Amino acid sequence: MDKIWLLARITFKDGIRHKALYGIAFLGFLLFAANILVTGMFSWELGKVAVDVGLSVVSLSGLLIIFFLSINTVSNDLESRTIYMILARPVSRAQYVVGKYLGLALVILASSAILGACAAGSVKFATFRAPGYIPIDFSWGTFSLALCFLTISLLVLAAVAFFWVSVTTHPFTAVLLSLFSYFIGQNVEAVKTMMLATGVLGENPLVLRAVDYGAWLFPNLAAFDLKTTAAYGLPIDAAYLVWLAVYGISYIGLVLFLTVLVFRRRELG
Amino acid sequence: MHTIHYDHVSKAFRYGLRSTTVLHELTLGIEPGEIFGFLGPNGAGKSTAIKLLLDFIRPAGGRMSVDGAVVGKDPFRHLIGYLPETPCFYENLTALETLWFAGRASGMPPGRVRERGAEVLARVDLEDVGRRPVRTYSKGMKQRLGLAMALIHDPEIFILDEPMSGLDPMGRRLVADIIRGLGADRKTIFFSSHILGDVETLCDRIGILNRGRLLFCGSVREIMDRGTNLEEVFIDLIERDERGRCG
Repeated sequence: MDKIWLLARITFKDGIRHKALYGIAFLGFLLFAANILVTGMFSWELGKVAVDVGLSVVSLSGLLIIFFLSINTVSNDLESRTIYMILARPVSRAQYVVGKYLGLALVILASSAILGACAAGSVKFATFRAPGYIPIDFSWGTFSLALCFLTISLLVLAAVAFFWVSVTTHPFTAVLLSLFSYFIGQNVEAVKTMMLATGVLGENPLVLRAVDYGAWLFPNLAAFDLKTTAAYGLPIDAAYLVWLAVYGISYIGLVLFLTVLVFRRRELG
Repeated sequence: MHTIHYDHVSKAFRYGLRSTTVLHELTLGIEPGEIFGFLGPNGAGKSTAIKLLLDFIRPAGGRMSVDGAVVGKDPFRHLIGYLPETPCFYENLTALETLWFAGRASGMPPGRVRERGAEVLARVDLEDVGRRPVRTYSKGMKQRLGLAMALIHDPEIFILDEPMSGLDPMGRRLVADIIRGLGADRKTIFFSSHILGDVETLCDRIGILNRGRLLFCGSVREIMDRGTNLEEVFIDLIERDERGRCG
């Protein structure tokens, strides 16, 4: 555990000093400023728009961190052989995978915490100017929950991206596969529900089966999206949230396990 | 018992549908406390042999051991200090943070890592830049930091892949002095190099590899009996091997 924590620490330190992170944070702050400007143009549902845009900016920044920082960092370890510096020590490949992932997860958590606070600030500012437009049931508790689950979805995607880096030999392929996983994860459940409800392509069992397998294999990222719930202040079932968190954490655990299996066999030449 | 032992180790790499053998049944033993130089032209298989020993890549056949621990089965990395051919680091960390990780990952207690970190940085002449991010270092400085990482936990065995590469004459002398000092402390050193002059003065024994085959393994004195200097004998051995292959 000590070695995992050591690796997580150096990965986090290296990550938060990365120039790409400053760029992403700057973009995030620009978008929050835009949030205040955009919501100023709305004359109705102002609170909903502010929450929606604020959380979307956190999500977008998290995605940029995964695609431009996390994938790049792990690929760089493999391509420029930085990994030798680690694995020449008494550190196992499993410890490397888990430690590295935890370090990158800490970067994502830090980014979500900072940008989430900025999102809350932009919502507060936007609604301060027009208190009448705040949804009646809006609560900061629900907003925070939405932020938490958005972060879990980013952590799930980061684990999937790590897996793709471990099975591919080029970072570009890993980025493409991670993007592919993201889009499937965001849409597959909706596509499946729509197909079953409307009967579109219903006669084609192969397509149905493919969508079904896709829904099982890829993470259901859309399930973690609680932006609408937060924006309208809708009630949430506590049991649903607990199961959603268990699903997210289990998915991360499973993907990391698979990554370790692949990584153990990988030649680091 | 050999400190480092290769026993009929082979390695092949696959390029598309073709498989190329880069190491042919390498058998080699390095004695405790000796400085062993591993020589060969570019692409001879020196780095591959070292990566196999560190279990970064897996052999097609044969087995290796480090101080009796079988590579790929038993833990052995706590016993070694390794310097890769082109050491790469987490560029946003400082040298002291990098050494902190290296020492702690090797099982050193925090207080000792701090002490020893400052000590080895001074030894590789980097004490003034220890708090600067590694990304600001020159190639030679990175090479010396890599050596500091190999030294920090004071292992008994050193595996150094081209330790002189990228160094200016002063840096080369510094590294040579460190290797000499380690030799005097009876540490086992296995290093590959292109710089034959350094090998000639530093090593007890050498191995010469060409196209994955060991052409010579013996003492420096033994090989020097074949010619006037190591470079001449080395070139002669390689050329003869190449001619033999061409038929």
